[in-house]
Amino acid sequence: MIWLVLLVPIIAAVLAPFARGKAGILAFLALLFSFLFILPMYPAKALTESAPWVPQFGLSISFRVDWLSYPLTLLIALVSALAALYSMDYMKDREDQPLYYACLLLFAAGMMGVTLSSDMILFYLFWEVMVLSSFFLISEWGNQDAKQASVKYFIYMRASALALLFGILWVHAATGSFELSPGLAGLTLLGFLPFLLAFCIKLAIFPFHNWLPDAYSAAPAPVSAMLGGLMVNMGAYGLLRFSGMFAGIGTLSVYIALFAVITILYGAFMALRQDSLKRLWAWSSVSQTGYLLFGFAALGGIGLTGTALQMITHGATKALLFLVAGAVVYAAGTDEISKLGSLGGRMPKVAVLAFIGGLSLAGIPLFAVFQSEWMIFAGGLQFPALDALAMLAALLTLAYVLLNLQKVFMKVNETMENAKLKEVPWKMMLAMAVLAIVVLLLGIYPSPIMLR
Amino acid sequence: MFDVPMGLVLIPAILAPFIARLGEKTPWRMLVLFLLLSLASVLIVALSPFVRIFYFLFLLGATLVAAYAPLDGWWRSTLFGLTVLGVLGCVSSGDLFSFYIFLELSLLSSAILVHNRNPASTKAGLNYLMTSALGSILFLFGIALYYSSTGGLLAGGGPSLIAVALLLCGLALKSALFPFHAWAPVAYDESDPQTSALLSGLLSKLGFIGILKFLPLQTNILLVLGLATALYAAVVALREMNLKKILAYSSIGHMGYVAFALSFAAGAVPAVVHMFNHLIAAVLLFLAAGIFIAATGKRRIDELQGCCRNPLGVIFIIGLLAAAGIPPLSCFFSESMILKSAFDSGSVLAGFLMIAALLISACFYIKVVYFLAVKEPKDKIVAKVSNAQWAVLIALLLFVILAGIYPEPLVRAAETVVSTIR
Repeated sequence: MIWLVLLVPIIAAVLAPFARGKAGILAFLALLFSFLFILPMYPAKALTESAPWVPQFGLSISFRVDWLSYPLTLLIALVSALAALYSMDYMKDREDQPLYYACLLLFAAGMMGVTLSSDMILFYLFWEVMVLSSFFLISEWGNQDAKQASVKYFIYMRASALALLFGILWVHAATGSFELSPGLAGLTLLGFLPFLLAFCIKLAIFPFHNWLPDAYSAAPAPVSAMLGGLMVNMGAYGLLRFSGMFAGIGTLSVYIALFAVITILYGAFMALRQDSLKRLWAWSSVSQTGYLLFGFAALGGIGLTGTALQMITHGATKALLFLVAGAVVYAAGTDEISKLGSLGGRMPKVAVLAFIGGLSLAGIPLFAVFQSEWMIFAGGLQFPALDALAMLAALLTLAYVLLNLQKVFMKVNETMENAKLKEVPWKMMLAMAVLAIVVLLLGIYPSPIMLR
Repeated sequence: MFDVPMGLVLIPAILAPFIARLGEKTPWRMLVLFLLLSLASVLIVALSPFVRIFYFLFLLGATLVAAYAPLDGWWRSTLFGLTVLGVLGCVSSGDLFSFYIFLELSLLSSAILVHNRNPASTKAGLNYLMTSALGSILFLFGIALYYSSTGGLLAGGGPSLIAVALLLCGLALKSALFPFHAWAPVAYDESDPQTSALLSGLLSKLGFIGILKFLPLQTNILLVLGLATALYAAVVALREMNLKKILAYSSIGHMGYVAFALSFAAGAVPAVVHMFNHLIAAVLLFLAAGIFIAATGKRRIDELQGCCRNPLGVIFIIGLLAAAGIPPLSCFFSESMILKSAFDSGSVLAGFLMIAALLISACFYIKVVYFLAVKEPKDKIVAKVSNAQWAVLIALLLFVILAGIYPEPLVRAAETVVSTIR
């Protein structure tokens, strides 16, 4: 019955254009259904199901819920549902809302399809559903820069997808099967390179990071939350899922770690220089994808566990932060940090939520990201120098988070002091509050979703 | 080999003189009616599976194209019917010479369809006619050599290399493979939407019908032709701004994929599936583009800017994304399986080059999407769409989506086709 998790949002996406004003509620309910449906599938061992698709070519419609896909699918369903809830107010005045929700539903279904598929061509199919629907979300409902940004995004993503296809076909030629099975192992390292390329483009690892800041910051806040909180994990997920098939990745690990650390530092330095909250979080995402890759570079052990957990903790945190940025835009009409200030007194609840997200992102204990980041650092000890640099970057993260949140919420700003701020509606508050609770809970007790 | 009741093949042709007598108003309705009758009879009459499947597909395409809008004047309907007759004849002909005759029939009647609109289309039509005549001469010469080397005109036997080469030149010209493609963009651009759809959807497949029926498959020359065509079309389309020419290059590129596929042992089935998928996608694209071009009188994508920001535009964009090979739309599946056949036979480099062609073509497809759908229109575009056009386009759209999600029936049909070619 795993397919119902995907089918319900897809059917809702087809119906959404006919639902007019009710599309938002439809999207929310469909995604909530997926969340509640996947929740009890807690995998003591991997759940699989399979049906023939095109048997002539050996394709099957097969899904798997296991330690890796369960938490991530759950997060996708949750954050997407919250993004739909948040959009009901945030996107209220925008055109073509039914289409917006249709794209949002397809985007969520695409990502859940990626995490659940255990047939490689099905994986590729959902991968492109995810890319295509997010392309339209960015280009249609983004800000004035979105149209150019979305084209750049599309071309990078197409390159990534075709590299993925190349890898998939190579694996098929070597094994004669499209099954994405963890049991398979021992293919030569050469076949891993297209996957590495594809997933590094997707992760926005330096030097393929160029598309990310533009795309994330141009999208509307709930979509940015899905991009920065959910889609950012897809590259890491792909690496974890596919790398098991290949032998001898260890020879590459130090190079992977090197590029990861370059990305961490570069993203963090760029984040320090941004004057827009959404661009800040976008560059911070570049930096954080580096951590995901750095944990992967440890290849097994605690580092890999760290990456699997970081996908969830960072995902929830970054989604929260993008939603907070959206709330600031909603209330104050801008997200330029230099024009903002004094918001702590004017909107205290949002300020508290922002600091929960910010402190979590900075890796402060008791907040979610800390729980996974220390594991990544522990796994990274096999590259001591790089590990030290990565830890140094954690300081940079703390710096850019605190400096900017201080400017936005605490620094006194006369115009903002007297400006007429719009009240943030309860649906937006609820969406952010749920994420904040998730961040706090994971910070204290992450073990339920650590299944490895 | 002549297991086909000729009466069936001849229905559209028998129709032609009738149409001629019926005067000014009804010929088009008669044409659609007869095409529907033929379509229905394909399902009933005993035919070999190869013929039945291709008849059904081509008649389906032709019916949708014809139903889309009235063809003005009795001669247009007549020529349309004759073109379809030529296409069907090619499918069912058992020997090279009858294939040649039907090929010429479809060529001549479609050339007149292209040619009779305005001075520019006259030029394009003549260009098409002259180039194809050259191809026909090569083909005829090839037939002669084929006869002299095998002692017959049926498929099989061991034709000499030069005969195969000449036949291939003639067929590559019909399918507009590089370097025999030059006539196609001009002809597609200058003709009306229905003729473009007919040319790109149906006639471009005839070369492959000939190759499948009479020539040795799995040759390196097909591989090279296919790769060169796909890469060339993708690169040229990058710089092109004329919408219908871009669609034409897209169509040429797709014929490259088919040729590429036929050069691999396991590639024939995905190649046939791809011919199905491309037929539908090309018909959809040319018919939908025709509506915008007719509504605005403009052809360049920067002048048509923003014209796809409406329900009709959504259909067009979905068709375009299907042609770009993006899942979960139709061509993605056949393209992936074509590449699979290349990888499985060990041609990783060829597969890599084909993937490069796909990446380059993604760039020109996104260019069209950017100008037509992402950018805001400069001034309001009102496209009038009749009910028949909606019906045709929605039917095509459903096929484009379903063939990507559930391609199994198509694959089964293609397997039957491939196992009963000769």
